Amino acid sequence: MKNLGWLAVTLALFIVTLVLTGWPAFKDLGHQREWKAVAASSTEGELHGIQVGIREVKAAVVDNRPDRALLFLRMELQGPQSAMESWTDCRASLQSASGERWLPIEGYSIRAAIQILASDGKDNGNCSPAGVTGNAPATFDQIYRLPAGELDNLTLKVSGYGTRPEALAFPIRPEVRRFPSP
Amino acid sequence: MVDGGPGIRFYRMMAQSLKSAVGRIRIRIIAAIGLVAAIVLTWWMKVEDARIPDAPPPIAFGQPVSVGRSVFIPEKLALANDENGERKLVLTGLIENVTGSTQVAVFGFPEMLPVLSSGDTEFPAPRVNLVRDDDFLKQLEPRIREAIAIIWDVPPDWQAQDVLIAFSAQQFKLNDNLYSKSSWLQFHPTGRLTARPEQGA
Amino acid sequence: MISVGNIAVVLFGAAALGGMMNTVPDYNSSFQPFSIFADQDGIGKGRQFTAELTGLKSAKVISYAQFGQEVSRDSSATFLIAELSITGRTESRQLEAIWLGATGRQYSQSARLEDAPRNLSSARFEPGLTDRTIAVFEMPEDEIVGGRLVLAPRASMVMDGAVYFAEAEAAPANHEMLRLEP
Repeated sequence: MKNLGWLAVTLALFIVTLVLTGWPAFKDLGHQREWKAVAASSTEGELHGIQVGIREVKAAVVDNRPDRALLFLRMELQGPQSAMESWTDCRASLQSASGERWLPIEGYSIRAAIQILASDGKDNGNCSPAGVTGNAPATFDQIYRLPAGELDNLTLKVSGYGTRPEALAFPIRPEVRRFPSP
Repeated sequence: MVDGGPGIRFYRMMAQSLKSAVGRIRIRIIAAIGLVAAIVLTWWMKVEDARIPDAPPPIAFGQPVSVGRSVFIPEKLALANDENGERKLVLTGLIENVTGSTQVAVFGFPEMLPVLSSGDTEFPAPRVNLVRDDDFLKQLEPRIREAIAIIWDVPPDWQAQDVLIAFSAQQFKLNDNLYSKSSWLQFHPTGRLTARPEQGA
Repeated sequence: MISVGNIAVVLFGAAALGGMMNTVPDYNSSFQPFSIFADQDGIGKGRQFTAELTGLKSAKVISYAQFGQEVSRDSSATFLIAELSITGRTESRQLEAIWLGATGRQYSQSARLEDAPRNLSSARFEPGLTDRTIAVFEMPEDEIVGGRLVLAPRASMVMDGAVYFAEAEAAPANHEMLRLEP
């Protein structure tokens, strides 16, 4: 019975050790997911010192493949360089109500569609910390490939490694353009 | 207290036996032999490590040489001009992947391509071409023997003379000392090819 | 003297320790992906994708057009082309395929045909969209019958599940020259 007290002390210290040594791992795990959504208006939001604005949202559906759509998104980031360094990187992903996530496309063959959908025909590249200053907004273009049926219920989540688990959540309502079959 | 009984008796008996002089001397002799053996063994291991390693075996054309994950059979060494008119030393041969999976690092990772030395000239690292595609060798599948060409740029001041090509292989360990996982470790020389390059393609 | 009971305990401990040391799985066999087996229809449900193996073909020569130029690849052994229909599930993902040959050797996708049209190595699969791709391997003929295809997320195979398709029972349709169309 007298050993029971020591056992209790051991257990308590073991749990404290686990928490202390695992704390950096738990924090890093928290940086991977965006589970704290910071609500934003449909076009403007601010997170950790960076202003994020949605400028163009357009979807394209081709007649011979009506089940799939390409979604073009243009956004602007503005803020001091120190704030962008705390963001570390920039990830803009589309999420549906059921938790599916679409990441922007990097391949040049599909990105060529940005030049058709954008109002000025230019492709400014994916969101990244480079070029974001406090003086003028930096423009970034993203394109996503997703089922046409999901276009109604999309949320755009914008975050950086340094801001996660917090992320800006914009409700997205794209205007759909139909293209004839090529 | 009852458990300690036989233990204490055992120690008392040991103490009693040690008290005799013969026992004491015997034990000291055994200890001394053990100490001397440990010293001799350490010294011998140091001598073995410091020994000059044997020179790698000489290789002739048509003989296989291990390069770690693959086996290479050199067939021809030629001095040729490429389309820009620059001189290249081209070693052609057959190579076969002897591991159980597709290899991207055919000559080991970090890569150790065959080293060419001739006279005093420094030769840059070669590139490895797959003869079938006339393009870089990107990977090698097991059990498929492919013809490759190892191409060195020739510095302008080099005269046609004998060259020495040294091949090395990376050592494979199924259970390494750190994680007990399979890994490729140090390189050791496996062969030397001495040849005079032929003229032409 | 030492009691028989004490000696027996020590011997039992030594035997147990020896048995555990000799039967512990080593790093190579523990660090394997989770196995998910495809059902009879050839459909395998991984965590991030659902894949169906729709056909196997073999060929001696493969040709395709790239940037307007004809590319032709031949082999001293044979090419194996696996046709797949893949649907993403939770997140945008790239996949990789391995052929476990009949002799137990593992064949990765052929890097000589990296830029072939609809190749698995350049495709990315989005949640909700079904895409058709091909995976091309190069191997000796006797590795095909009795071998099986494994599909896994790229670059995180060990930490995730890999879908194992059924073993190839019959030699696939052989083409002397196969043309790949986009």
